Amino acid sequence: MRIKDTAYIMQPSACLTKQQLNAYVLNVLEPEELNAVEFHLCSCWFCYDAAHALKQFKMDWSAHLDLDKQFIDEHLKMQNEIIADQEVPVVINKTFKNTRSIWTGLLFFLLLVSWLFILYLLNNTYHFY
Amino acid sequence: MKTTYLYQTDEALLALFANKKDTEAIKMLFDRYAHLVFAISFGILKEVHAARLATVHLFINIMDLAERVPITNFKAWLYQITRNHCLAQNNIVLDTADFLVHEKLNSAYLQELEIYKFVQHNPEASNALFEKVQSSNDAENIAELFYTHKKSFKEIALLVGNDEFSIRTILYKYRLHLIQAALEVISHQKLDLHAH
Ligand SMILES: [Zn+2]
Repeated sequence: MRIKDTAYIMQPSACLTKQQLNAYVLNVLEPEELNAVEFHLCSCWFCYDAAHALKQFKMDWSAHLDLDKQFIDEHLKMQNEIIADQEVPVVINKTFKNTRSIWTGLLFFLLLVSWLFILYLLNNTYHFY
Repeated sequence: MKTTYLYQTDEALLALFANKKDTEAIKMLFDRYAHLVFAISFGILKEVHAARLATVHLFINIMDLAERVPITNFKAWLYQITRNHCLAQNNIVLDTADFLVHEKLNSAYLQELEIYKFVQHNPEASNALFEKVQSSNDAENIAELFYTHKKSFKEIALLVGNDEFSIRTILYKYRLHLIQAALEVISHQKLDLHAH
């Protein structure tokens, strides 16, 4: 081996950006950047698997690689779902409280009616004697 | 996005989110890796919509896991959970090896960092390493074409009559041999230091 620079071969390199990944798949990188990208692919399984998967279909992936909007939308959706889930027991409690007050009211009403009926009976009894 | 975050490590960004609920930090990590997660998911799920959903859900899960799971090497961990998530979605039964990917990549990363620091400080040892590398002449020629002559995988493939995939594999293995040789030298040096 004539090259004797281990430090060069072992130097850490950053993972591919969206633009680099797409340009690599489309084969449109300039020689210098292509070498930098392939240098990284020699050591990184993450980027290599990613590039290999997209290279099966030689198309422009840029629209699919932009996921920011979907991330924000899905995150908001999930947060709303969590809030909605937290509200459910409150709704149940309200209905539960409402039914309870209806039953208590009915019981008091029945008590009142029965007292009135007893009073009416007592009144009738006095009249009888 | 805060420009100072561009220079933060993945782990520092994750800690910023876990401790201070800094969503900008998660956005930065998303910017660094979401496209790679999408590509790997697509490679397994073979469907764009499913891969996009998997990516977004994985990052939402990370926001939840960041506070509870100690993550020493975010990249290796993310690679593992992406693969496991998509394989499980495809009903592929995961074996023990699938759960060790993170650990394997993490230790490889630490070893490489140690070697890089070592060869930077010991240029003469760096030269001697190439004598110890146990690889074939073909692999040496390919490494020479790639690292010295800056030829691309495609160009090398045409020159040696092979495919691009094999060229990358040969270069990856060549690098592994170099790592093994370097580790031997480092361990010998450590032993010598102990002896003295
Ligand atoms: Zn990478």
